[in-house]
Amino acid sequence: MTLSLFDSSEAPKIKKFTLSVTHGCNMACRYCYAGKADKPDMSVATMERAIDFAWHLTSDGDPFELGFFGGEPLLKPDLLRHAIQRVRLRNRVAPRQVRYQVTTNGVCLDDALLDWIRTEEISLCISLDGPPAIQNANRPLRNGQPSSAILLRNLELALRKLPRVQVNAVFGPKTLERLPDTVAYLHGLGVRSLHLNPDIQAEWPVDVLGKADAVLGQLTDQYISYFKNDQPMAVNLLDIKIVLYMKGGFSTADRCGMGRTEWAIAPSGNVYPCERLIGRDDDPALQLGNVHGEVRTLACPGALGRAREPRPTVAPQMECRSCPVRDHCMHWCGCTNYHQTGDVELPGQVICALEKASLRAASHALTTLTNEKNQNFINHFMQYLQISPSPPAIQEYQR
Amino acid sequence: MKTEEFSVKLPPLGPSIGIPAPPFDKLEKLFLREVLKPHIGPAGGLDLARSTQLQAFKLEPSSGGWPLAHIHIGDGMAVLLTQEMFVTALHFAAKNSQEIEKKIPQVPGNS
Repeated sequence: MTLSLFDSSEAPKIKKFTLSVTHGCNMACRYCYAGKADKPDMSVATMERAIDFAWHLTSDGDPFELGFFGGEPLLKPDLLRHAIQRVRLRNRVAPRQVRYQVTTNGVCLDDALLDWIRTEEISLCISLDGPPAIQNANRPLRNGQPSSAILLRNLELALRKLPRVQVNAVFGPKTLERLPDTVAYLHGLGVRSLHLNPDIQAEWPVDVLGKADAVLGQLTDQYISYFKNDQPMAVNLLDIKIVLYMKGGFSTADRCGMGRTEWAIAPSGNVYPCERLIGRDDDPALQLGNVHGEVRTLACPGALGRAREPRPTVAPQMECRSCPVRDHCMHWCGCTNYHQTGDVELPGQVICALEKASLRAASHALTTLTNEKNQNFINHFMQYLQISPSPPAIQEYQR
Repeated sequence: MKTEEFSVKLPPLGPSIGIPAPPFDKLEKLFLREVLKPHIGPAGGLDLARSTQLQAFKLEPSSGGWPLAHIHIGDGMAVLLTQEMFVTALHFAAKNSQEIEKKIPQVPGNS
């Protein structure tokens, strides 16, 4: 389907809408999939057009997440402020329920920015890979200098000022076995919401993948101890699987909605099905159009992924369809698959190994803490039940 | 829209419910079968035909400081999900996870 902007009545709903406001970055991460691109930042006109596009994809009252991405989005705070002003302007006429989210390398964070983030109720996710040796090796500053000391200072500030700070830590084949150290380090710093994500562009030797079970086993022991010691920590690899065990598997709505319910806009205005596919913004096969022109939706994401040649060094998982734990696995994450195998519908071995290890680890954590009736664990997962906003029936009930 | 609150005393929930666990988004069926039905007769006005129309969960502290979730089923019906009920759901999930764990294929390179 092609969307002639602003006049289609059949536009799909969106859940996630990401603005990549700049290609610029003050860091030089070893695994950066955004790539280096000496291209202009997003213009105000493009940003406004992008937000208008988000309104076009939604109806009155619809909730969606508006994410700011890059490059480093906090290099352009004025543009982010303008985006929020644009949302307010649109909300006066046609209200939506917009939740803001920013993913940052944390270097620019200071009192003023954090105060603004708190005021605007923006969900903050700081990328920090772990102890100084890991952080400095993987995520040096653009000038080659170590970043750890800056991040420590700014993370501490953020934790002091904001009610909730998420941390995103990337691990690769060389740091997989250091994950327990990373978790302990970040927990010690006061982090209570942690996303652990694999480097999806690295080459993962089979013998390294074989260690995933043991590593996640250690991590699970830490996780359990945190709950027992009244310092619980959300860890995505475990929390998601525990919720899945309660739900009975992923529902259709949980799955990747690239190009249908998830959209990302490059600084140029080019539209992508996921922010992790923007890269240098130089692959027309991945572009769905431009906010200044027309945009097509993806009825079949597979056609998008096969635009790229398979990577011969990353073995795909061919037996997914018969896998007995398929319904509990994120084999459907299109951008991860694309980066690993060149096909959005064909997962690689990294995801396969990590998903299996996570399922085993989560089962152990769930069983242990449930059998002990751990109050922290019960409270922690009860909060995931919250759905907002309240429908009229609930509002009436509460009166 | 009229909303009623069904505050029920939870019956003991044991092995009779069995596994596999009900999908979490179908938890209302568990309520109907094991919680509501034994306590509310036909005169109670509970419309079982609407049982799948789960509308929302919302948590808030109760007067006793004991967290409750209001579960709205169908038009204007509400029941309470107590923490005790949630723990039961966790137990289901834990048993189910052990069953699923047995089915996970081995990863190459994992001795």
